Amino acid sequence: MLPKFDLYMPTDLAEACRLKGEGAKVVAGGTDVFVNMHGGKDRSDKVVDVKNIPQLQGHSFSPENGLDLGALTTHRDIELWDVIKKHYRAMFEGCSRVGSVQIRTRGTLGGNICNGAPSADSIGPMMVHDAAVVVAGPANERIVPLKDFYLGLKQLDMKEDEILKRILIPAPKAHSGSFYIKYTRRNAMDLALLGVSAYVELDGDILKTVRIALTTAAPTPIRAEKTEALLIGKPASEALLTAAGKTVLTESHPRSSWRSSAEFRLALLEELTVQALQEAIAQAKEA
Amino acid sequence: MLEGRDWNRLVINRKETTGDEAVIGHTQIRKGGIAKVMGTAKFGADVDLPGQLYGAVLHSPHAHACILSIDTEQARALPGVRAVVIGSDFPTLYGSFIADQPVVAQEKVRYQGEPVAAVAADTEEIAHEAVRLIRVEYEPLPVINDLAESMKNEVLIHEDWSRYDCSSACFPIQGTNIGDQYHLKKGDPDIGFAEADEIVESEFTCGMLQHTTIETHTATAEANPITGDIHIWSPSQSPFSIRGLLAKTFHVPLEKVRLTVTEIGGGFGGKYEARCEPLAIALSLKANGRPVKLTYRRDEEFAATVCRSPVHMHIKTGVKKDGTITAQKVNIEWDAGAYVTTNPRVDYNAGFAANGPYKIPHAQVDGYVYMTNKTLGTAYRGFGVTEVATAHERQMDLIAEKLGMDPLELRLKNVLCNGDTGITGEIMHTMAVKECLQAAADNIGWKDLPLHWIDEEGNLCGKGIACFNKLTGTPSTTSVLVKMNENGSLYIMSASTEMGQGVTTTLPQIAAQALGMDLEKISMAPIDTAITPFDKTTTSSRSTFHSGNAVLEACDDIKTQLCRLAALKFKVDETDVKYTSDGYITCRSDESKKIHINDVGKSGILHEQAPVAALGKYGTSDIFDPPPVDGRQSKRPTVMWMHGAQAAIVAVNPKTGRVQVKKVGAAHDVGKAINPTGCLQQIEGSIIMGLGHALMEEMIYENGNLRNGNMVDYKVPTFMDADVEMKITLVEQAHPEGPYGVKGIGEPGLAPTAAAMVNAVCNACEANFTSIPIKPEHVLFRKEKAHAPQI
Repeated sequence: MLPKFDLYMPTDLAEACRLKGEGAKVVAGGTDVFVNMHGGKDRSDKVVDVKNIPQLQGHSFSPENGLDLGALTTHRDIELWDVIKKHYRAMFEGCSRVGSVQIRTRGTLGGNICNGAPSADSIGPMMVHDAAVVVAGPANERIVPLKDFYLGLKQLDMKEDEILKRILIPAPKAHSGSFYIKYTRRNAMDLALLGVSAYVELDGDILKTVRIALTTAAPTPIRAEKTEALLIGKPASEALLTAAGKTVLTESHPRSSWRSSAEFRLALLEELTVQALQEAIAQAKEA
Repeated sequence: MLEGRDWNRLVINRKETTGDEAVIGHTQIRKGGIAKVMGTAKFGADVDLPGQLYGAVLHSPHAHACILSIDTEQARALPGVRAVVIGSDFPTLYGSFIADQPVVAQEKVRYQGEPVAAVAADTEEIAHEAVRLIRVEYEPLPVINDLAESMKNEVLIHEDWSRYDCSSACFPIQGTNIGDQYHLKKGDPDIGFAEADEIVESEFTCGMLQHTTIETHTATAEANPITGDIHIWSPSQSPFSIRGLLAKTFHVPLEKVRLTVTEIGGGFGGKYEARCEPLAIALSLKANGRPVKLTYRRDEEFAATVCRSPVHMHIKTGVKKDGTITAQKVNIEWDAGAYVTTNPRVDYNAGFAANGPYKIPHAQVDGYVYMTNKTLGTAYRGFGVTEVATAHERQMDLIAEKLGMDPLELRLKNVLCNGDTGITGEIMHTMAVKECLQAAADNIGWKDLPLHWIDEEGNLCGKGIACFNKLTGTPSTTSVLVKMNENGSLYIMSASTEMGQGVTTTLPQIAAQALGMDLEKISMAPIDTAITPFDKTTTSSRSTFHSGNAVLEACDDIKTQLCRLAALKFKVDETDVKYTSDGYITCRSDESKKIHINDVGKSGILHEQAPVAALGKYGTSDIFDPPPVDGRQSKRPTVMWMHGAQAAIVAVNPKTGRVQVKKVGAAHDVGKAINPTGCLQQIEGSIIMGLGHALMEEMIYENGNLRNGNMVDYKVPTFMDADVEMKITLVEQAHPEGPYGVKGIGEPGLAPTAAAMVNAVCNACEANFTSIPIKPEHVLFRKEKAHAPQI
């Protein structure tokens, strides 16, 4: 049962920022906020629904500038968009595996980013595609690289009166490819027990650029920069990928819990890192 | 209608049928299906009464604690609150086997989620707000989280069993945490073990499961504190057993309690227990008789209703080199939660099934129900049989491995056939386990497959097979009323509730067949204990068998009554009128005088006459040979044994530990498939349910705290996990006492599923997994790694 709250549905971004500054809970698709409210975890008495704010709406792609996504872009929008499947494969893999069709139709990228769950399926893929977020305050706005957006568990680089407005993702480079592997106990309606995103740019056989992001491997979604450094500039050999699988273990600190032992998460991490890199390289070779 | 599935029928023996019948044996549209598909069916929580209040419950955060004080003052003062109930308001304890459970906790809480107080208020919001205002002071007690701690008996969850009103079917042990025990002994196991060439021992543990019905528990009660009249609306699986329990609990005569059954959004045994009903009644009584609706949220459903008890089993088998079993001993330890509920029946049914459908000259079963500080174990589709089947079928594979025999061959060598002596000394009849095993094996191509192999993708693949035996609760009684309407259509009034298992389609089919009548003219009446005749329970896969027999008896009477009315119209003596098998009421001496049953309404014979209505009944007391507590030997422990077998093929990813069930071949002896699609759906649904049990589902408790009481963390298979190829054989070995030979199929589909899958995974990995669910990390980090060099 939802607790009682006042609902605001402004069309003006500054108004939404003001309300958030006053402590209102921001809701977009509601797939996290309302679940928490129903479950009694969130007892906000003010809720600001940002769906009517034009600056947060719409999504476009240009070969020069890449993706300009309104924070309200849904997982379903991404899943069904041919540009994504072609140039941003990791994002397709991530967004198309969120919950169910119903949840993907409601849930937004902005919401997924701001909820900041360690298991969020869209964040790792966007990180490896070097996404940046546009954060708007009442007076001005600023751009923050997504990889720097998380300060700690559920802590964002966002002030009390700031709202996530858009997500910018660069155009795909030549000979680039990406992939995301989500490991779950079942095939739908499940959270990632572990996820690995990988993006590579190839120069012939050489790994020119590599970005790896880990999901559910730390309190926040993280980049595996040591492993990236190990790979960059080297030919993509099987031995190198195997080494990457080992190195990545030094960059994550999964915990043992009733959900899974740390030992199991580490075994998966090693395996899935290799697989995600292999798939991303295969995508890059096709591109 | 076509079934649209890969299935076949294997007829071994018929009873009063030729296979050419018009209505039975053919797939029929499910009665009531359209309303459910359209969303217009009224389930428990859809009930709304004028002046209705809303209930909310304060659940204990502690698994085991003394209640030092409860302060409800603030809650009572909240505007809109009409009643607050605490334990001392309704001190009578309840329970169908032993009355050990309070309506609301008194002095002590025994599991996390136990009701500590309840509120009725004008709105749901106020009720929940009031619950938050109740202050309870607890003194935590040591928590019994598992079997090992329970067995120590250092902390007793129930200090004194002798204080409770205990039925003759429950056997607690004073001064211990044992709430019930069961002992079976056939022959002398020591002699059998001495005759054996090999002794094989194994252990197996099944995890704790939630029924996870789509509809949570709910009840709406209108209980008059002056007259004692109690009317309750709930999705109750067995309305008469709950009515009896409620009447006792609230000290009113049975007839004062009226239970109207709503549509049931899934039962599986979970809706057999009274959960919201007593609380809603207590609140209504305290609210001066205003109706109170109480509907549990999903988290309450997990924490505060019922589950399938975890169970640990140990089996020891003596076997000859040629595979002949000489003796078997089974030990069963149920981790049954805080109150006894229906565990004695689970213990009992599992006890008879624990040795499997095999010829075993010397056998012993010892079952114990241990209490723990967890939510309450109860019936779950199969009453323990699925769990013991998983253990005895793993054991059969271990024996086969030890002897170097094919697992199917070992089973076929030992399986019970007609004339063999069963586990209670009974001479078995109408057996078809052998045929089921062979058909299930054929359905996956068993003989052409090795035990394990590696596919093109590098997955470890394996096959596994399992069979089972299950009895139906005996003795039991059922009655139905069949009533003809003015237009010649029929109502069947039966308390066999519809939970998706299809009884409201099979009973009209049986009546249609008996009367030669169109199926569309026959409906099931709603169920209300004030109107509907008595039926013991809707459990134990008994409904089509028992209520079907009662329908047949009623239909015979309907025929007699119609012949009498037709005789008046024909102006002949009633002995001159007969009822033909194709549904004609015909004058023997002048066959031009006849009325078809479908035309009775317009024939005029119903006008100005006594109504046509008939009672049909069926009971099994007469055939029952009560198995004595000492050894449980009996010439007829049950009216009906159910049997079947399933075989599975799995593929295990050696790098991620994920198991994919590729194919399941099933064969179940249904006696006679009244509605083939109904039978197939029961088996298919069971296979996916069993897949969840084998690989995914478990309730996880740590120190009495439920960690995964939600639908994300408790992994029920989704549609996307149901991609299993299935081939099913419906075996028809007619039961001499079943209507048209019927045997039950509501529970049996599930009984061998997890067992077959576990055996397949064990074969694939060349490992011996000893518990379910088998999780990916068990696959990756199992101790037997050295045994499987390819990983």
